[in-house]
Amino acid sequence: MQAYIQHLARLAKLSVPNDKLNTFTEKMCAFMKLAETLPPLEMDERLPAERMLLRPDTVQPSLPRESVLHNAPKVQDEYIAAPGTLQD
Amino acid sequence: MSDGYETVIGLEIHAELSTESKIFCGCQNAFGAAPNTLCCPVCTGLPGALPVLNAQVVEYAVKMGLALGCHINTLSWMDRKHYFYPDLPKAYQISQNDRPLCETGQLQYLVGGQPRHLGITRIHIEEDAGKLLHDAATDTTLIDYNRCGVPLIEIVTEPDLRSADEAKAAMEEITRILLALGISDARMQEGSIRADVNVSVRPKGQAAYGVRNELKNINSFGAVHRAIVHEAARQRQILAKGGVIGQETRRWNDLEKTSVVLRTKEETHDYRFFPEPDLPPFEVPEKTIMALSAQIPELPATKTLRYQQAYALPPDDALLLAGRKPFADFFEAAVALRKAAPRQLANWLLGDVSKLLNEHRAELGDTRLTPDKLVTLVEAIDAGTISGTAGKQVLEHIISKDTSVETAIEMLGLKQVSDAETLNTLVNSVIRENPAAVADWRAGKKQAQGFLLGRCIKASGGRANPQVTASLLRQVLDDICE
Repeated sequence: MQAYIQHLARLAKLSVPNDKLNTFTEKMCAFMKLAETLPPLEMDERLPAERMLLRPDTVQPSLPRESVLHNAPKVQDEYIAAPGTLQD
Repeated sequence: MSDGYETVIGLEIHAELSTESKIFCGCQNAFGAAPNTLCCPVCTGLPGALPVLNAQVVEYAVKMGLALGCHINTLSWMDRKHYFYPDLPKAYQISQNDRPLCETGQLQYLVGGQPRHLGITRIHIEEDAGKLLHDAATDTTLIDYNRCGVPLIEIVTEPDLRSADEAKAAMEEITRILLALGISDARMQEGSIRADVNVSVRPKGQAAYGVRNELKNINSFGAVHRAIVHEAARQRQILAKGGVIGQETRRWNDLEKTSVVLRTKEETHDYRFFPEPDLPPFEVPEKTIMALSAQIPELPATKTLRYQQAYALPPDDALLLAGRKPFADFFEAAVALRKAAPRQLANWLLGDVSKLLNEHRAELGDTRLTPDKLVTLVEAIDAGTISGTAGKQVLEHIISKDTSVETAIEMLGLKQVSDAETLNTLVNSVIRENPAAVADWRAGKKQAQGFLLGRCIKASGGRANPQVTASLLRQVLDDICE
């Protein structure tokens, strides 16, 4: 389970300090146990019966840029600024 | 390469669709807008915002599927693909995994005028991610979310390609099809079409594939070719030395002509796909598929082969015409008017007409040139009414002005003079004015005749019919000698 927690953390680009690993593992096990109490889904019920209505290809107004940038912790010029990340 | 190895290549091509609005929201789908001005709660992934799928995206993807002979799934759904990266504010991309819209098709493309075939595994729809700019000076990543939610189709091919030439030709053909269907502007320089290339190498005759490496996000045909040549050589070198190829995802650097490792097998993404709970499954009714199927035009490769066979055009010329719809339509309309000289018409279109369009940065449809006018122009040259050189001047005139070929010839004073009496006077006067050249001719220097002919044409302002003038000149010179 600890290896799994480390894997999840790596996927989420989070660092889990070694001294917290046990706590996280216990908590995650508790979540999993809770999830297991949910009734299982039959496979043929997996697809919902409802069907999606598609929308016509029409343009609606976008948000003003100030609103888009409003919640960003850091802004530089017209962009949201994030810590340096190499493209992959 | 005949070193006992065979290269095996498969492509994953992403093409942005040219819809008016984005895939899941009404923000405009446009390139080049000021950063972060085409965003809304849906495409920036704000909590509580709900996506709604754009019908046009489904229609365009189905069209591509039909053009490539795919099976269209009448019931399909979207899946979440999870990864953490700043270009994706939701931390997942809405894509298709379990049930793509289109499956198992085939692309016909041409290499050196010969047809080849490439299996299409699937075509699915998904949203594009935002654009990142890396500011090395401040170690900051600047994010523009305008591209988030731009509709994409991803075309995944079978590993049927065996050389960089085949891969490049196949990708070019896919681009031509996107343009012919009018579903993408396919501008590589704007990143609206990009490819991931899977390359492996195996000993010739071995059935099992070698270990493949993926080269990510290549955005030009030339770069696709260079990346494959480089990667195939790299893998061959490793194998030749008895080494083992590791499964890797690599980034191709086209400037330095090298690739670097992005991820090894152990670091392979674990996307944790599951059906998108915000979007129920959707249906594409059979009658919609039938209606779209009726709209699929003759594909560029088929058209190219037809031009080669029906009009005896060289493969390159046939491809150049067939690959550009306005040119193909123009050419066929012109050929229908004048069946005898398709090659001549093709030469004018690909030569002087294209040159003028480039000079004026114009499209064929923006000009006043019509198939009828081009045919009349070619006929005027054939009939000897104007010279080929004068034809170019007439073309320059009629391409921008709403005048007939006849009026242009008249206005520009280019009507060719073929009348024997007028030309005789001209020839005699040139002979009188150039005694030295006549003496040369008498002395056996036959090239003097060419010089005298040139003088005649010049004296007529380029209007003297060269054939008639040449024959008259010869007669007069022969008479002098006798």
